[in-house]
Amino acid sequence: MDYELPSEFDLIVVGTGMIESIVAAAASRIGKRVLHIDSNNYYGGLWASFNLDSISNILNSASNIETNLEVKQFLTENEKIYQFGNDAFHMHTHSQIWHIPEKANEQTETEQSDLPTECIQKEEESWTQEKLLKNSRKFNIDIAPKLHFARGDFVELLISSNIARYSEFRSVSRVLTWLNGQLEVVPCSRSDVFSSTKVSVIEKRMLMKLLTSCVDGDEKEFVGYENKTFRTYLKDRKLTDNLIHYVLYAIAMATDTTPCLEGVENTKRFLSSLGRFGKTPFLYSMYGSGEITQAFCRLSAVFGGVYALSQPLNGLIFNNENKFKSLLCGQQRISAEHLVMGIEKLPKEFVNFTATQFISRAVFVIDRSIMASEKENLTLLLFPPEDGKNPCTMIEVGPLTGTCPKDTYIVHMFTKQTTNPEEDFKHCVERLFGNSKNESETGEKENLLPNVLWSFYYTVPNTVNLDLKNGIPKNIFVCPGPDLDLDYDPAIAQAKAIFNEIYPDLEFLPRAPDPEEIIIEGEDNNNIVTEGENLTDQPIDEATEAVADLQIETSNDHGEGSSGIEQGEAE
Amino acid sequence: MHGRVKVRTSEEQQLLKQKEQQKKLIAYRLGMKQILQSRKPDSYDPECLGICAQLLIINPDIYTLWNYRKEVVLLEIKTSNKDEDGEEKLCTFLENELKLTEQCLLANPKSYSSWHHRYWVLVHHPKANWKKEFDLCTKYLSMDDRNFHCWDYRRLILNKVGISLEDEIKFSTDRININFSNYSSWHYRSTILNQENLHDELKLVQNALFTDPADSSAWFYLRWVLSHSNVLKEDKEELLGSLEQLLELEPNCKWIVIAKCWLMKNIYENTDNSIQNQVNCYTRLKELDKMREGYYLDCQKTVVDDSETKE
Repeated sequence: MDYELPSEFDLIVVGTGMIESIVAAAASRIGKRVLHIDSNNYYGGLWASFNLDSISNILNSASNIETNLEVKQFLTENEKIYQFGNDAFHMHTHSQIWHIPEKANEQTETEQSDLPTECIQKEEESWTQEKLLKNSRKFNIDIAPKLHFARGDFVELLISSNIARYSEFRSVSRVLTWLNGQLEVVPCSRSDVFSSTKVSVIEKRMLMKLLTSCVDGDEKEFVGYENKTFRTYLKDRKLTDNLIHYVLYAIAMATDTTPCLEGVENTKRFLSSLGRFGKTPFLYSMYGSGEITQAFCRLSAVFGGVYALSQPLNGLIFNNENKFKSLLCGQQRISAEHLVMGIEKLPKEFVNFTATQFISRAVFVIDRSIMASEKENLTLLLFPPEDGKNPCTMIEVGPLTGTCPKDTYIVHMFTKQTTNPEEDFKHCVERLFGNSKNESETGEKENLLPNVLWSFYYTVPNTVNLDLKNGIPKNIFVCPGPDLDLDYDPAIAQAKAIFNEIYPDLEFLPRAPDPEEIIIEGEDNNNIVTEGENLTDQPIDEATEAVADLQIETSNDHGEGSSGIEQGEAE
Repeated sequence: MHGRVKVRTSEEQQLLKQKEQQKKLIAYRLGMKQILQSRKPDSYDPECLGICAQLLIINPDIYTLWNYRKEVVLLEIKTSNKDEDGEEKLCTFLENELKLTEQCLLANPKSYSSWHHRYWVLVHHPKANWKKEFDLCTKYLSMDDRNFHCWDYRRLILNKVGISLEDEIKFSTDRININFSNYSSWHYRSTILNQENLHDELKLVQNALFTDPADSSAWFYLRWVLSHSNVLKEDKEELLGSLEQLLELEPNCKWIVIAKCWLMKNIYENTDNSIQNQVNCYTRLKELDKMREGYYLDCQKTVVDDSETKE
């Protein structure tokens, strides 16, 4: 290493996943000295986004640990050192497959000369691996895709902390479900219900009435349903089968066994986010969900957080009371009071828990939308449970989100694992996607199913409900990996809990000032604040005095009345 | 206080704002004085016209200044008639006027004077591009469909461009699909509707009534549709049936009962049965809508009196 990091911090955060990044931002924001460090050469850990080229390398990325290093020489008496990392909580790839030829086949090119021009054009449009990889950098493939409820905890946190400045979003334009053998748009807002041609006028009233009573209904409404399912409640409200399907599987994202009150809560969460941004309750982060972790890192850096990626993390050093002392980065010891780390970085010696629940995930690059329409859509598809399969959540993003090149779409799928990702999604894949053979056989241009160009199936352990304190030294805090929630609600709750434990009485991510609110040197009488280090060390008395001077001066212009009060307050 | 960046307090911000306002006020007074002094029937001072534009951008509601500009425009038209390439110069001049109204509408989208000036300028424009203007309206309304100024403006322009009423109905339907709680939107529709076929219109308004019976805008549109003599009797009867169903679901919604009265009066004139039904409805309305008790009492009396005079 040809540079040295400072060797003393208040907090070291290892790993740049979502929860780690939120904690780093919150600690920097209140003036703590934070080192945010990662052995990966990319941001985001298990929450990152990748281009097409690099996603295939994520799991074989060479670790930076210097295996030959004699670590003992950095320890003092009674100290122990543990290596970073474990195999238990990483993602596990099942398959990564190309479904298109590597290069344009020369044989077909010669055949083309005999065919009418129309066919030649079609042949030119078809994808090859080479062509897709040429566009590799136009891809931002999420490994933990998320949508955001417009009035959810995440959006509110972005606004209240002013982190929204570092990110851009697109609103999801439709919510779909699979109903009676085809994709249907879920009427979720008032205007959807009004304009829907799929439901009768009576159904419109029933649906609106139910949705209103879920949001505004007092407790009496649900008396007697404490131990019943949401489905029973909907049945009792005399909803037709189609309406039950829309409400249960799409709006409440529930199953046949979901308890009534949970269903009502989910419905509320969905409906209360309507009408804020766009037609549906959801937002998606431009350029992929991986951008979000970086927005928090950015805030941390603005408030003095030190960032270092691709670092050779050689171990964690503990004293004889099993208290974390320092981190060995290359050959440098860096000390801090507290350490926060992602679960996948945890030394094997501390892994006292095993994941019992797994998340099946899949990503597909396809050549057209799963449901074609005039404009490009950003779609949430809630595939209902059937035949022992769990409900599957799918997000389809197009070129307008900045995550894939023109004429392609990305479909993300995730569900609670029952067997393995291929099995868990088999029924969805069969219905939603076709293969190029269909096209030539039927020759129909209409209603074509999209072709899969590339697919990636993988498993991630669901670590959100594990007891991550079990056997962990007191000044170390472990962050779980991605969960099944559609939004970041559990992640924010975790980050907040960790922050409150380390800094019990301090504010979690207070609003960061806008640039125009910051007083820069030379502006305004004597209020001098220079950029950089002085920013935090401004002598308070001087500044207050300057404000008082200003107030007396200007208030004299407008009459005597108020000046006394203002002066008094300022002093 | 460590780690906090020094920011302006709200008091400081307010003082700065006050200072700026003072400056603006002085500038405004000076400008007005200069413009009004230079106002003459046969010539104008281009410098004053520039000041006038600046003032209007800040406050587009000073109609004296818009009138001043109209006088200047008329002067420009007069001179352009004498000149050979006068028309070209006039066009450039008028385009600038249009740009000014654009800026003003950005500052205050509901400024009567700016909308009016824009239309007035286009009417005097030798090469007015009405199509572009029309497309602008479409764009505007898709961003904010609650501005009745723009709806009115669109209606004025509709007569100038060759847009078929069917296309325009489609536009109206799209807007209503997005948000039907909008009086402007429904009213616009009423001005362009082909009144031959009101069957589909009743269907559309029914969708709104069932989606949200408490929203008054659709009920007023319903009343307007029903006021046409060529609404088929069977359509009206069907609607009355649907309203009965709706009332079962929403027994406390006054609008349904009111609409029933409209319909019964409309369909059955004054049969005894209908009169009794209407009387019952008004009794119910007096309970539902206490604030208008007297009004319903009067309606009830009228129904009874009318039937008696006919007999």
